Amino acid sequence: MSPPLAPELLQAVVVVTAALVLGMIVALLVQRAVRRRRERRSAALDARYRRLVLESTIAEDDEVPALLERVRGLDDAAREHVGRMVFLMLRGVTGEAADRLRAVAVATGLAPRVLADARHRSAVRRADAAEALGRLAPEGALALLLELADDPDPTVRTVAVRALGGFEAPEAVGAAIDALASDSGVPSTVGASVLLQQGSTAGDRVRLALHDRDPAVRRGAARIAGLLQVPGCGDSLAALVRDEHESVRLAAMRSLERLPVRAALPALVDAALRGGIEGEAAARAVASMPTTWTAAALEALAAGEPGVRRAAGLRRPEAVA
Amino acid sequence: MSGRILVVDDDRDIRDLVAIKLESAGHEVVTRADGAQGLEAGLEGGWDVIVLDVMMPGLSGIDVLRQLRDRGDETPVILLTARGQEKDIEAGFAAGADHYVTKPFSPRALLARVTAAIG
Repeated sequence: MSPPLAPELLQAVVVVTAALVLGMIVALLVQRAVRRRRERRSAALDARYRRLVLESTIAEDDEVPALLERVRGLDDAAREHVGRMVFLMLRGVTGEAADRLRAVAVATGLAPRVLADARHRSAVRRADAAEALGRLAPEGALALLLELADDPDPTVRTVAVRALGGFEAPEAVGAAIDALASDSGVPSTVGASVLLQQGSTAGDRVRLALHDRDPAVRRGAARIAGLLQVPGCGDSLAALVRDEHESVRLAAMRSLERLPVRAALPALVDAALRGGIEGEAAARAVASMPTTWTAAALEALAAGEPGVRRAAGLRRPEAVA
Repeated sequence: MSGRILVVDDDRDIRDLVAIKLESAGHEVVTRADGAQGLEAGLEGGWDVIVLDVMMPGLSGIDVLRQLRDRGDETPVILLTARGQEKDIEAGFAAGADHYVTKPFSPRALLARVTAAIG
């Protein structure tokens, strides 16, 4: 049995513990008070300046300079608050209202901070800057976003590529195509959605990307070609039905459902008769083509697996009988 | 032509932006912050157009729309849907929506839709 602690030592332990607990309670109370004060301050600033920001979105052209002058005349805390408000509102709006909000953001002095943060050593700050550059679109934003799309950090690259979707520019299309690559570190859906946002601007690059050496790029380009109905890529899509990678073949087949190409029929019939998921995808592509092209192909598919026949819209043999 | 518009969206910024745009065009606007409140207000009737966000916690915009239509309410409804959520658009039309606008959206374009819906 260990000897009991000396009374003086025990007393010291109790005093130190009590002091620690008291210190923690005081720290918690101070923290809560500071948070409440900050919230009250934020609510007060909100009440004061929210109307000003909202009005900026509907201001007439001749009212804008005075409005921006009012923003420039605010103290630092108020300008920072207005900048934050504008930044959040820009998530939901486009068009003229967004242009007005961007002008307010510039008047708050937010843009120089964002531009500077794009080269910050912290990846988190660079990612935040990339998002802000996309929303605020200050002068020089496109060039900086293209730089950030090559950032060493994959999160920064992802945010930058996503932000490029708002810039209708050939360079943005190029960055989105690069993001489709298997080693880009950017989710393929991000590059693809940027290309969809770019619409017809992306056509030429998508056509070229159908012949890329990287199967991930060919797969992404094949999907986008169909979704955007890029003209002039029918033969390439038909060739991709025989690509060495299954995911590329499937993407090409899905796109051929939207972009019918007669030259693809022999390859589609071969794939359909092999059966499986690919066979069904090929059969769906055949079934989506004009009936004047597909009579012989559908006749051949009648010998396919039940799933293939179903995908081709063919009746069961017993039903026919 | 001015009308009485109900705007239901859980995002305060969107709600306020839509309201100020519609008010600037002379419409009377009432806002609600969630589906349950929106349904309650919708059922009170007297609206020329209802603008409904699809993605809301609790009752979604589609749920609200379906319940309104089930009770015979034929008020024109414009849905606010997130970009890329085509299934929401299909579900919205199936539930009886008249139009949709994808977010992020132009308040001016929404105003044009509202004006067209009022006729």
